[in-house]
Order: sequence, then C-alpha cells, then structure tokens
Amino acid sequence: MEIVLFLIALCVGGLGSMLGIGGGVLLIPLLTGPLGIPIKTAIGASIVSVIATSSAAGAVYVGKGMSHTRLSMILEIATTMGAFAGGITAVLIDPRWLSAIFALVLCYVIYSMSRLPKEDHESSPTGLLDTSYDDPLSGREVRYGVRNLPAGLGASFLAGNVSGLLGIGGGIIKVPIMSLVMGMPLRAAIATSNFMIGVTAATSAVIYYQHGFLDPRVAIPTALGVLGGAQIGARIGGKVRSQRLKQIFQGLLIIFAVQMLFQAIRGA
Amino acid sequence: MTTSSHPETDKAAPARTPPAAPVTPDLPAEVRVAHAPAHAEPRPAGRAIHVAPDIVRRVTQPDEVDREKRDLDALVHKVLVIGLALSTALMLAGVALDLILGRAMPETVAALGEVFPRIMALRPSGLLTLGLLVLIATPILRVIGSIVAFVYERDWRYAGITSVVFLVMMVSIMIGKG
Repeated sequence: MEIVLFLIALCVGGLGSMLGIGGGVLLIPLLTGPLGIPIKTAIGASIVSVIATSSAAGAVYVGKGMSHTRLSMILEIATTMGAFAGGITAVLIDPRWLSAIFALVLCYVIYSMSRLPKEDHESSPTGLLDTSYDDPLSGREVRYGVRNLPAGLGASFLAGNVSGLLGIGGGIIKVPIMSLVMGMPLRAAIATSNFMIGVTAATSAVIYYQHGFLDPRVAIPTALGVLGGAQIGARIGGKVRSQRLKQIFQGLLIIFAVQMLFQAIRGA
Repeated sequence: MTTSSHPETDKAAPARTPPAAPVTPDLPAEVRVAHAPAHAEPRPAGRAIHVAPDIVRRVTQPDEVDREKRDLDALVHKVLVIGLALSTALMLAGVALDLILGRAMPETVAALGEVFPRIMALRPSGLLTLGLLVLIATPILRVIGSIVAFVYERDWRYAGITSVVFLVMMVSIMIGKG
C-alpha cells in the first residue's frame, strides 16, 4: 500500500511540477478511487504534497529567476484569505459534497485549459511591476509587466478558496487568468503561481493538521513520492513544450471528473 | 558616529531622488557595514549602501532593481531548500525507524505537545509528524524571510504587504483549532 502510494505520487509530482500545478487534481481522484481512501484523508495527503511540490519546484524556478516574487506577495494576500475560508469549510462539510465540488472544479479546469493560447503571446512592460527572466527555450531575456491586477486578486482568492476546500494547489485557476487577463508570459505565470501555492496550502494545512486530516500512512509516502517526482519534473520542465503535456493532462481530467461525480452519488 | 543624519550621503544620492525618501539607515556606519550582504560590490565612500526603492529610481535604474530581486530570490531559495531537506530527512528517518522496529506506520499524527516527547522515546510517529510540520512550516518561514528581506531593503510597502500574508496565516493557525 505505502509503496503503491509512493509510486503514484512520484508520477504525479513529476507531471505536476512540469505543468506548474500542485498535482492535487490528479492525486485525490487516484487516492479516493482505486485505493479507496476517504476523501478528507486524501485531501490532507494532497495538501502536504502540494506544499512539497511548490517548495521543490519553487526553489528551482526561483533560482532561475522565473517567478515574480513581488507580484506573488500581493496575490498571496488573496490566496491565503481564500484558503483560510476554504479550510474551515472543508472541516465542516459532508465528504460527498467535497466529491461533488471536486467534479465541478475538474470540469472548469478542463474548460479553462482549452482556452489557454497554443503559442505564448508577446508580453511587454506595462509600468506596473515590470520584471524580466531568461527564456529557457530561446535563451532570450523576456521583459514584461502586469495588467488588470484587481482581476488577478479576484482569481487568486477563488484559487485559494478551492485550494483550502479540496486540498489542491489552485494553480490551474490562477495560471489562465495570469496569462490571459494579466498579460504575463505563460512560463512566468506558471512559475509565479507554483511559488505562491506553498504559502496558500500551508494556510489550510495548519487547519487540516488540527482536525485529523493528516494520516501518516497516506501523507508520508505521498509527500516523499511527490517530492522525488517534483525534483525530476522541475529540472526537465523548463525545456519540455507545454502543449503535449496539456493534452495528456486534459485526457486524465475528463476521466477523473466522471469518477468523482460517481463517488459523490455513491457516497464514497 | 551615531548621528541620524549623514550629510555627505545625502549629497551623493542621485539628484532625482525625492528628498522625502529615507536615504540612509538610522544606524552607525560600522553596523551598516556589518549587515551589508557579503557579495555587495564596494561603493564609493560616502555613498549610501541602501537607498529606499522609489518609483523614479525603479524606472531610471532597472539594474539596481534586478540586483535587489536577486538578493530577495536568494534568501527565499535558501529557506525553501533547507526546509525541504530537513523535512525529507525527518520523514525518511521516521520511515527507517518504522522498518527497524518492524511496526506498521502510525494512523494519526502526534499533537503539537506530543511531538518532542515521542521523538525522545524514539517513536516513529514523532519523527514523521515533525517531518510533516517542518514541511508545512517551510512556506510560513519563507514569508517571514521575505518580510525580513523587504525591511532590510527598506521597502516598506512590500514589507507591509507580506506582513498581511503572515497575519492571515497566523489567524488560520489560531482559529483552525476551534
């Protein structure tokens, strides 16, 4: 059981860090479905793994200067407030509702991923929070700024709320908004979102810890597996083209959405 | 030399810096030198080591902003790497101890007050719980590190923004008990 959990988490961690997500959207359906782990325990294991992924990939991305540290601080105000509210709700709510909401969020994720541009758009300095990074594919320096900060704050609150409620990272809610509405380059949006996720997840993890969501038998193998996977994923992630990854990911999500809906109805 | 004003520094500051901006830390020179980052390039005598980031300088001297960004990133990077290494080591030690003792893994985490007594008694659940707690604490420490870095750079706006994030996390710990 622990070995199986570790291996599943290894794959999820690798894929998750390459996509700039915590991997929770994959982890929770895998733990609750095939392995039959209660959803609140799965949420607890997932949030710990989400923190591990964010710290591991974040350390690599920050080292490359790709995440926008100052912007992340601003948006984290919104994500932590959302995570606090979501974490409290997760403790109080019936597990079946969590499964149902999870299925709904998966549907939104599939929809929003299809809206992400195939090719990254041109970004330019806007005079608001201008910064730069070196693109790993072209080696060129990309300078950019930020637009529509209030929309980013709104999306961040929602992402934090979903993160605290379902134990996922919430990057898949922030990244499309940061890329499409705030005008950030996709890679910078992913790196920045990934960097913020740890702080968001820690906010609800302290609530989960105090309410028995953390089962070491599940959380430890999962966290170690995701850590290993994230180390591998973050190192090759900057070089893999994001389009192919996205397609694999979307296929998995469609299966999981159906599964979670089934679990909500059946009461698992 | 404990005066709060440094006339020679004020003169050396760029003319376009608004006079209201805090130009020099209110500290003796030797303290400022002692706290200067080890990799900072030597500055001409009388030039302030820290100049408060203001919008004019941000636009006119982007290189200086980039250097600050690197300093902040380096600190954040260090916190993340140390936290990860420590929590991984603790969790692996807990799993190893579990295997040595030939026990099944514990089903529940130790309460906060139970963690250290259990580690002293060489119980795996103590190490496993501490590993999880260090992992959870790493982002919280990262936020504290960022506040320190912003205060050090005299960037009050971002020190304030980051403090709000820290405050929300503390509220979550306090109210999460209930």
